[in-house]
Amino acid sequence: MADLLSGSLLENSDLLVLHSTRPLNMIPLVVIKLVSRNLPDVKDVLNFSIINRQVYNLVMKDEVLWINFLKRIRIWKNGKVETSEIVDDLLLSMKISVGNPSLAFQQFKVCYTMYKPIVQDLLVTHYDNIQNSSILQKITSPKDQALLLNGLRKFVVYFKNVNFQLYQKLQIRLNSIVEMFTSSLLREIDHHFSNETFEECHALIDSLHLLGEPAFDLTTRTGDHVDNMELILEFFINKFADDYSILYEVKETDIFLNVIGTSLQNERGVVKGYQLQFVKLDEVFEKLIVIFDREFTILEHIFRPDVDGEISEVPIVLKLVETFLNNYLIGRFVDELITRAKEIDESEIIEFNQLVQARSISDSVLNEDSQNPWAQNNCVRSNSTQISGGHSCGDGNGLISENQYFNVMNESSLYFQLVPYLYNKISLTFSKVRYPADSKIIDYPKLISELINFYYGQYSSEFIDLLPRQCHFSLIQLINRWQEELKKQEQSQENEIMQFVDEEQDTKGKKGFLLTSGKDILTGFTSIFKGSVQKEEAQRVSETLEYSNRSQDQNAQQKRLTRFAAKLEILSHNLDNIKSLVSVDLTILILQHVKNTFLLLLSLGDSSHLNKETEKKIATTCQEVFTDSVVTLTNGHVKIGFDEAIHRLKVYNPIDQGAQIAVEPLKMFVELVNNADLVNEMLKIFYQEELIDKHLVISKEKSKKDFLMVNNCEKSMSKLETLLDTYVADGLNTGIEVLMNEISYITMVELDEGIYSIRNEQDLLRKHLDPGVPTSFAQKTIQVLRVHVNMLIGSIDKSIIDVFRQEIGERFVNDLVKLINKKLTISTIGAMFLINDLNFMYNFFLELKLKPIVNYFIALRQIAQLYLIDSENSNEIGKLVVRIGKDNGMFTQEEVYEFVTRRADWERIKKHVDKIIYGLQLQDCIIM
Amino acid sequence: MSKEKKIVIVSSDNEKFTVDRKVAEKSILIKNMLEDLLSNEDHNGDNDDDNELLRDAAAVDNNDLDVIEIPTPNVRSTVLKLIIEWCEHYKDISFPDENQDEDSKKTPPIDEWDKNFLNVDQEMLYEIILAANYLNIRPLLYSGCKMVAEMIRGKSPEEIRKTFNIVNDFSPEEEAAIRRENEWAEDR
Repeated sequence: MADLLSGSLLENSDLLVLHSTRPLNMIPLVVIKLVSRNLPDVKDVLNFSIINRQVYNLVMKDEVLWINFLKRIRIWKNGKVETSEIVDDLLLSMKISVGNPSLAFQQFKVCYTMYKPIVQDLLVTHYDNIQNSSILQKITSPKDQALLLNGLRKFVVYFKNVNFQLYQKLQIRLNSIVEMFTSSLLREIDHHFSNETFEECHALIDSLHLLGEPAFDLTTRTGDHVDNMELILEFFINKFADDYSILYEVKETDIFLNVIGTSLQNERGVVKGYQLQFVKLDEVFEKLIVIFDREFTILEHIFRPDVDGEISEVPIVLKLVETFLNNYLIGRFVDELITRAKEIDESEIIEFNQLVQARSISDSVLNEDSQNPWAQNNCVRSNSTQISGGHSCGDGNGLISENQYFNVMNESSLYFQLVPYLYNKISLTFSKVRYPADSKIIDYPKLISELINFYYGQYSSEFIDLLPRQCHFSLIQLINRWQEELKKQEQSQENEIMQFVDEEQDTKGKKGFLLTSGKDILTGFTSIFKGSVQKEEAQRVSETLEYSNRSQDQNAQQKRLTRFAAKLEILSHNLDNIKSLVSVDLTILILQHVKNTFLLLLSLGDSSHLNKETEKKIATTCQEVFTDSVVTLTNGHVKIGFDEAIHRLKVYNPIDQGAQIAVEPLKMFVELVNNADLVNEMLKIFYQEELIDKHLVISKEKSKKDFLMVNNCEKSMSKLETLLDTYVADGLNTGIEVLMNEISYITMVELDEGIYSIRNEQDLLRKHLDPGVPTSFAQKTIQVLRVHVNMLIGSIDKSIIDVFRQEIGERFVNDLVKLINKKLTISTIGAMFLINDLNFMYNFFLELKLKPIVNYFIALRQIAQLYLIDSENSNEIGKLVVRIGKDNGMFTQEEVYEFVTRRADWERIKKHVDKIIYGLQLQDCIIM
Repeated sequence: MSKEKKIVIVSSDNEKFTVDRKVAEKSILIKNMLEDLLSNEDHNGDNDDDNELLRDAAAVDNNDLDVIEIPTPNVRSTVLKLIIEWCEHYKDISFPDENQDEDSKKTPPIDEWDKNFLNVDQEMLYEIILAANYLNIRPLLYSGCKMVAEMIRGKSPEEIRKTFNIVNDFSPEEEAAIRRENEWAEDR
């Protein structure tokens, strides 16, 4: 403490001279300051100040003391120098903030001088009849009165420390005056609002604003104080509430129109007999635009910023919209609609349900199929901001064009139709509304979009949760219907074919069956395949479902069939149908479901003001939907299709059914594989375009990816690929089996064993045989082989083709060797035919560049020479067996020996040959 | 500090009051002094010419290592006794930052206990205020000043002068002028 006692008694010293009875007669000035600052009543301060000169100077120059007074009446602001001179206007003096310490005393003096009498006049003298108060006779405009009351509210706080009881009394009185004033202002506002004299409204609201909030100390302890602007908000929201009754003018039964028994009941989007009347809803939203345009215009007018910019329409606009969304539109109207939609979805109207079921897949399938599905998808893509599915654009078939609110995903549920529609409609409505001019500063569309997202969030969220499940069931239903339809169509085809059976001929045929059957069968088949093969050439992938038409055409052209031929035709159709076991069209439909699901999901994310969480949820859900669709397609369709195809391949037995040129099953199977590849490709393209390109999934480049980074979508696709590879291998194996059976069958039918054992030239002539021409057995088998090995070119991987050919070649050689060794007896003349056949086959495999097989034939040709040598030269034969056995590289000597035993004269020459080969004969062994 | 030292405050009339350090430190003057002293001791007591009081206290300290005597040459024992009583009462209460800016501090109404405590004769009140000022015990100083302010409330200048025995050094003309100047605050 600096001011220690000292002997000096100078006037300017830090000590005040007191005439005390004690020697201790000096008081530090800080004590004087503290005493003066603790005098709450300005009168006491002034009285204290004049006790002597020194105190007077001290008190008058104590800025802290006077600043404290200004603080008490709420017009001091530290460091804020708003005014550089004293404000002595009654109404403005309490509006300002003083920041200059040197003005503190003077400003307080001015305010006190002006307001102290008003307090007396208004709150004490004329409190019972304030109309008589002189001040209210002088100050009459609402605006000035508001300013005055605002000033008084601040000023009365001065009395708090002076006389608390008085202060309380003043406060209560002032509050009731303010309340009276406020309610009369509101009455006025109401009056002018009703008369649409908005200019007056604006002025009155300005006054209400100027009245301001009560100073801190005035707030009631219960905390139920409502500030004026809140009051005004409530006032206008209540005023406008009447407008929103249009939401309840439209009857629920008009929105959910019961169309049972009318021509509408089969339209798309009708659920359980109810059709959503989007037009009615559109009308409601159109009206809302008009209402809000009007309301916003009024608000803009009434709440346009005043001079000091403290009033703005922003809070009320936001509050109004929020209240509307929460209490009227989303919280009630939308909620009721959605609840009702769910009720209808879950209700049971069995008859109608069946009706819908009866409107079978073909209906929709044909619709989808009538145009290029990818083109259609492109169309969807370009239109993706709309919620419309693939049907709104370029859809010429007229069935659905009038309604853009549903796609295959939501046409069977009013709930799924309604939720995205409403969201988009609400968003659209509030983007069309004309906002007040302030929207240059305030981004109303963004803020209101956020409000919409907030209040609509629970519905969106539920929708996002429910849709994948709906999609899953829908896909399963789709696939099941597809499979059923397939079965049904096959069944009906069979029936149709059987209808053509000419019973008369059949009975005849039965009698003569054994005699004529071979020819009959052949003619039957040729004619069948003439038709189908030509058609197949022209066939394109997406036309699969036309087969029913085609078969009808065929049947129409077809001659009457015997029962047996009909069965064969059915069989061939079954084969024909193999390739439709995995369907590109079904995949397109499934992907359309997925795409439509995406559209519905993404339509809830149209707004760019969506929070990140919802965005992420939508993306994740899309991924899940895609993965689920791949898994469902794999398990529900591809697997079943391939299993069935392989089963059919296995049971196909051409030996039983009659001869034919191509082994149809394998060919069909390859087409099936093609389909499956196409399906796989489509999934990949879809994934790339719809998920990666649209940023629904973040995928790294393949090269930078390890197996851990593979996401579920990719996993499901690679599983499908692996599955396809396995099936291709299985199918080819089965196909080879079938082909070999076919070869065996041809062998059985075509092989004339006698040719190879012809003993003299007369027989040659008699049989019209030419040793220079391959036998029909060789020609037919090679022909079948040729068809099949070439059939696969371009349809599957070359390495697989090579393996396939190799396998066929080996099996063929194996069978041929068995045939020679087990069945043939070969004469020297017949050997010419054999060599010729072998050469023919050799050339075939040479063409194919199947080296190991070619080697076999080189060896076989050498071996065939064994049959050419005349029986006279049996020694030569023996030598040749030994030589060939050593040199051929394919067959062992024992095997070569096996061949030579097929010579027609073997019994005769055996002894000699064995002697050459083994050096001695059995007869040489003499038992001693 | 290895062990609690005894603190003895000595009044002007040489009466000794032994107090806890906590009690003594209610006086910021003594608190600062003790801190200086004890940190000096830790540094071999080299720097001991800070002020007279400190030197005195340190000298005492050197004679008897466990006792620190603090002289208060201008506080009478009767006053010092009361001051220590006040300090005892508030020893466990920490007041808001003592160094805080004066005018940012809200001065609450006088504490009831203080009011009773300071209900002494005027002379004693002066002496307490002066001692509180000297010893730098702000809360006590404030309470004292508030007591004085209470006494001034509602009194005319003459009454104030009379109560506090103050000589009016204004000329009658000067005083009349000032009174006219101050009329704005009068009830009209």
